[in-house]
Amino acid sequence: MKANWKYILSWLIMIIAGFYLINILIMVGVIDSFIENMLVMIGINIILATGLNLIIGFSGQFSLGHAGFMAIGAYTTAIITQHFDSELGFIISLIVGIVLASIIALIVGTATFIRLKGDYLAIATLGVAEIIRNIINNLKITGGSAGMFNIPPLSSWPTVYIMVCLTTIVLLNFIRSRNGRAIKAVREDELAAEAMGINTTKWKVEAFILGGATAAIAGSMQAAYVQTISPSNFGIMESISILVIVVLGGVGSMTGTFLAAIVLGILDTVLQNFGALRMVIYAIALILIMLFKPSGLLGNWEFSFKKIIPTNKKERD
Amino acid sequence: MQTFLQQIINALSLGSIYALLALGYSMVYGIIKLINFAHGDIYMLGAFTAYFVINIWHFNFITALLAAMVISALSGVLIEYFAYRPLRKSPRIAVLITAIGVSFLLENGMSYLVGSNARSFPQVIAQVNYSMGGILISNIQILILGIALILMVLLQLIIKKTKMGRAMRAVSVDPDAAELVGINVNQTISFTFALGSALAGAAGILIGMYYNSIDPLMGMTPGIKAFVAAVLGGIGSVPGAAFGGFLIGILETLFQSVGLSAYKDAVVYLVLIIILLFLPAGIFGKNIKEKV
Amino acid sequence: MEHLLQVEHVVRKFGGLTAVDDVSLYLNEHELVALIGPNGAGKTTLFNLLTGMVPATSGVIDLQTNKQKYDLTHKNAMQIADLGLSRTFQNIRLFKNLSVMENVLTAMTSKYKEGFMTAVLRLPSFYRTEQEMKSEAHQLLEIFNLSAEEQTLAKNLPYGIQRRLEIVRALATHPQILFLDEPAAGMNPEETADLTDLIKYIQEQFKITVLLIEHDMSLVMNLAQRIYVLDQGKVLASGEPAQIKANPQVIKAYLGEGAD
Repeated sequence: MKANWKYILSWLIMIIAGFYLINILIMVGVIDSFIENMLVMIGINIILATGLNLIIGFSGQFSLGHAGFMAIGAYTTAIITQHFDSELGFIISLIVGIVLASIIALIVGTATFIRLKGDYLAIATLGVAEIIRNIINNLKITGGSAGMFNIPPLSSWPTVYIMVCLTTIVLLNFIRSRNGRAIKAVREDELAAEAMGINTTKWKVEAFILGGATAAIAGSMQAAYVQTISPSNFGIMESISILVIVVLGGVGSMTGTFLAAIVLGILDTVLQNFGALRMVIYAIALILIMLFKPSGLLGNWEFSFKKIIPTNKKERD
Repeated sequence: MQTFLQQIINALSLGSIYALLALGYSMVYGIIKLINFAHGDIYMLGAFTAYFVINIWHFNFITALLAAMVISALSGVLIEYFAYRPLRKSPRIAVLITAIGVSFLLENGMSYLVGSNARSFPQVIAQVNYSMGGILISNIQILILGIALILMVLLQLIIKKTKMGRAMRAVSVDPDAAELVGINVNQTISFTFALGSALAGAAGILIGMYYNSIDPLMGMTPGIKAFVAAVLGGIGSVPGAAFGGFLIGILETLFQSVGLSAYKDAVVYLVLIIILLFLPAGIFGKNIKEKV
Repeated sequence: MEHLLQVEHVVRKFGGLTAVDDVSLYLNEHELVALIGPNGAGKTTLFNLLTGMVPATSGVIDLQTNKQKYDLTHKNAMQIADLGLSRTFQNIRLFKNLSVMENVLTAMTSKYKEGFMTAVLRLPSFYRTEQEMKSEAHQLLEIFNLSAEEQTLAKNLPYGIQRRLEIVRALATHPQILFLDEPAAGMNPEETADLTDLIKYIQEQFKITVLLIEHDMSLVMNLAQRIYVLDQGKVLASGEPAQIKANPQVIKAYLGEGAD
């Protein structure tokens, strides 16, 4: 218990230090608006990819529909804040988005997880995301295929920074608890988990809901930062690009997800100068990384202060 | 009734293209359990091959079809050899990401080389419309349906009657055991990619003639739809993939014809999810043991 | 007399094959019973039926505990595990990429409540529950000499230790009845002797009922108070070890010609 305070404090110091570092770099002009934009996009991708990693890497369920949940958050925020343009409106829209995404994840998860696994589950979740997108594409309130413009700019880099920290803490605390052990057991061997009295469907759905809710948060952040959204932002390609971050970082490693989101974010920004060759280089880089490092950049390695700060053996774990 | 029949004709043309694509997905998934995301882009390669050989060397339809099939088959084999084979013992998700990378590479490489604009496909066969009792059928539609059926029958014969077909079935059931009884697994997998990609190439030239327009991203949506068709029919099953392809073509066309075209994608996916929930292995997945 | 577990006329068919054919048996409290029979006799299928992994085609399975009667016939594996029936598997099914400690903690999932919010917000009760779970797991691992391996991933353990860990994991669910599916498979005589002591110790110390499938006759004859012999899905004979040893039918069916 006492030892835990050391880790909590270490994390807290790191979070605050990171915040002030970015702040100072912006003030002295090292980070211009271009780089700031890159950092925000990296942050949003971290929220998305850590949530997907929970579903794929920890609970072992293959979802290809992450962008659907992101769309729910984005459109909820866009619609609510256009009528209710204030910080409070933004917070309410965040919560409504989370609740909506959770409800849909609950329904989809309960319906599909009992019967489907692996690639079939992936295709079913992809289908759900496409259905969500298709509906958004045809509604009046969402602006149809043109999308929504002039969304109030209620999110900025500090908001995204705080949400990255909050969602990561929630996900890690979830993983490092009885809940997390249960979902990992389900991933490892579903039958054996059931024989140990673990309600496999319940845990899979719980991880799916949590992942979906974080995707909704990322969507809200994106809508309020970029200020324009359209259904084409939330297609299969978006789900796939989130999946790429997860696999590139290492399925089952949250640290890897952070690293991959940062690497890809920087790569993307650097490649802007290459014009049409940008995507070609990106594709080749993706193939080469997978060929030479199939388990992702970090495999399932996790950063932890416990490995750095020595403690007496008794208080460990 | 007339419009209904007309829609069925249109649906069959579109469906046979999905079916040709779905067959490739199904065969590849059956043999190495990979959703080959690049498959839709092979179809694009086929369309562009035909475009160039017709425009530059003035190939006729049959030779252009063969050229498209050969080039597609070759690309399929090369992709498998360089991008998928080294990862055969890796986690499946790594191969999936590689396939996505290959897909990006083909799409963007082609955009880089020829530009991303749509181009009109040369009229290698002049379109003639026949009217039968008020129903319009074009010679292109008949051609699409005819070629698709011929290729499917050929495929079924190859799988059922040839030594290579037997090897494909064996490897899809158990690669290790197949190797033990002297089957060359690598060669069999290459052959499967060649067959599947050739079908995709054929679909590419046919769609070019049907829509008169091709572009480097043309494989994306039909690729995903065709995979849905393969899953719907029951992955690994040849009749299943064909059936799934036709079913999706029919569903899409019907929804378009009753004025719900805006929701046609949603309906396709909804049907997919419902079918998967009740028949988790697809429509033909369980009943037909024949796996490829 | 009411038995702890009563199995009556249970049948399980797989297509045309009747794997378990009209089996009736019972287990009493604190009993150590063995289930033997040739390969393909339906022993593991019977285990799967009793632990809810495979539904019975017909028949009734009743559990009599805490002065209450539970019909297990239509319950699933999870519900049956919650009622105190736990098992190991013939082909070890540990959570391979989890540590030894985590394997044991996982088995306590349904015994300790720890809400989502408590875990995510790290409320004081989270640390309390974790502490309780971990100290119980420590104790169990200590008893079975696995303390040194707490942080080792299950897949990196030697085979014999994996078998032992699987038993510990099953015990962590607080079972009343423990089903062991060929616990001595792949062990040398020395390891088998250790295992014999271990099973005896478990049955006595944890005051539970053990039903085990085993091919190693020395282990069975040393341990079992009663034996059921299964052959071609049917109960061929049952009784005390001495009776079974002397039963000519059993010798013929199970030990085969030329056995002593």
